[in-house]
Amino acid sequence: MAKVKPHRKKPTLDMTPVVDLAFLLVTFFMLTAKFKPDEPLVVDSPKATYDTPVKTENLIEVQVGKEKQVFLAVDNKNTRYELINKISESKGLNLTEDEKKAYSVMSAVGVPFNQLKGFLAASPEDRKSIKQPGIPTDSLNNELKEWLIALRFMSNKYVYAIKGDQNADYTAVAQVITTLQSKELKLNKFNLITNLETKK
Amino acid sequence: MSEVQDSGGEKKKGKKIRAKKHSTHIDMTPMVDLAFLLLTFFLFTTTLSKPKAMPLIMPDVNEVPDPSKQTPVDDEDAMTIILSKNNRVFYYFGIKEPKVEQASFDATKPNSLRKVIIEKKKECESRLKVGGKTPNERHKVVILIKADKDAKYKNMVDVLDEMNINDVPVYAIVDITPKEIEMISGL
Repeated sequence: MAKVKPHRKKPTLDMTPVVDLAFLLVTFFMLTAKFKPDEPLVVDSPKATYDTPVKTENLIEVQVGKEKQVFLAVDNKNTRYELINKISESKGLNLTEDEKKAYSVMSAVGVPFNQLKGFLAASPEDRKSIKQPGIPTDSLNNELKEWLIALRFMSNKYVYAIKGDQNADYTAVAQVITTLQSKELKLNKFNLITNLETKK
Repeated sequence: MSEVQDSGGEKKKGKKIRAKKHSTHIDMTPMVDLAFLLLTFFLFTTTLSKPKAMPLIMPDVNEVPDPSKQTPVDDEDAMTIILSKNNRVFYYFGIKEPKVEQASFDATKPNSLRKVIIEKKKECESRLKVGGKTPNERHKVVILIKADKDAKYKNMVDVLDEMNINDVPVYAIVDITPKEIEMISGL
């Protein structure tokens, strides 16, 4: 009778497919991941069942925070530069080239005109610690309107959206809507930014 | 040309077979470890919830509406939703004799806003318009959405979402009237 020889070979597992898969996934996530831009205003959007994705190209976003503060987020760096140039000129802010560049790299800004120069002159680190009060939107001093008018004069291609915090008062959002609909702007079509909720 | 290359290839092949005697084995465990570490990092840091857009078209406030182009709304077709503080929501039917009642955003509750809207919609669609014969000439519900000063933005989005879910054909956001504030103040 033949003796059964114990299998002496070391059990080896070919890990190549595992590595292939793992690296494929890593590459996928690395390429698709977009680092969240440093947003000065934290907005917790309400949930809704709409599932149309937001087109970020040429998007002008009016953000309304929890404490009713209004921020303006303009999509493109070049657009922002052009916008601040116009605002600086029309409001007589005398911004320097560096201050204009500083504005063009920020995602969202919520500072009234009278504080804008000081805010932009500060170093990027200092700017983070400054609490931005928001852009005034009340009917007596509606600075948001002036920002939007400047944008409206620049081009017609922009898409307007309101990104409100779910705990913000509706009156604050209503004020933004009234601004958008004012006779100078006539923006009656816009988007409300929401998060997807599964249908109940 | 091809012949020369062929012969060259054969020579090389013969040499290689002799040279390669033992297989090279690389321990791939650290590499796999690293790959999975990166994988888990990216999996955890990516947010899957992309923002979505809810289109909203408001009536032009600057244009004086032409009365001849406006379609009058039947008293029976109108429904008004009022939003108030603490996520409360009220509704009433018609315009002439409003009877305000409270609803709930919770779809599982018996007085849920969704149920109220669905029932009103059905009721309106069951009535044919005067002189109408085809189903297209049926009545349609018209919903007015009003928010008082204490309402939250979330409630407004919820109501607009409800319009989308229930396929309400005509709805509008309107300013609240002092009479309505009075009506809900006691509730």
